Amino acid sequence: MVKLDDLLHERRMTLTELAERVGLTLANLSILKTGKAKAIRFSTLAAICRELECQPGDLLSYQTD
Amino acid sequence: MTMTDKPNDLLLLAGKIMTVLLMGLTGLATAVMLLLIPIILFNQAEFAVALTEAGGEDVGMVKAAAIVLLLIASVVAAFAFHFFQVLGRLINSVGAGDPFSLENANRLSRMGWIALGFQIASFPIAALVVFLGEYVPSENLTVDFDFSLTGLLLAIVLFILARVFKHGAAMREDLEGTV
Repeated sequence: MVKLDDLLHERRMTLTELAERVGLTLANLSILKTGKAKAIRFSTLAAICRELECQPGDLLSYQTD
Repeated sequence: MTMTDKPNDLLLLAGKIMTVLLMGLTGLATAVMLLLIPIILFNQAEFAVALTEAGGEDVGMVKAAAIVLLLIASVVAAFAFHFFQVLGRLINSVGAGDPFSLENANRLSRMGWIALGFQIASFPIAALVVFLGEYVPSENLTVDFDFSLTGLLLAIVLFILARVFKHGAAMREDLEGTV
């Protein structure tokens, strides 16, 4: 599960803004936000954590179905 | 865009020009050969005269063999037209930046079957030419369509490429959900 909404809200940042800062298209970042992504590159994860000033664990969590 | 893209664009352009030219040639060849059939059938007297002057014999047999040969050859030329048509579409997809698709894998496979078909077709054509050679002096009979190992190799390479592209399409789909 990807917890992007809360972090964006805390940092007062829009999805579009974050996409620009990390170098992803809005479409790709939306895929991540909605949980449709199959995989995430470490470089993408690092860039998001850098911009949102968080740790990977703040962003991702594992849930059993 | 990197430096290597410019030569690639020229390559694609050259490929596209060649395919369009070859489509034109094969399309024209198909039309001409198909047209010759009714011409022979509706001008039998003239055909007989021309054949006799060329040193040929047994007009009926030669006429029948010539018509069968023209039919086979026009089918082969039509398939050649389709081969270059499919190649053109493949080149377009490369230019669009999205070559690794199942569609392209199927296109390559189809091109492989057509290339294989050409080699198989060379046998009945060669047989007909030999048959015609009994009735028409060889200096007046020219048909240039032989079986070649290069042609067979082309078919094999196309089938292998089809498999490569199928694999590439699967890899691309896998990458689709990666951010």
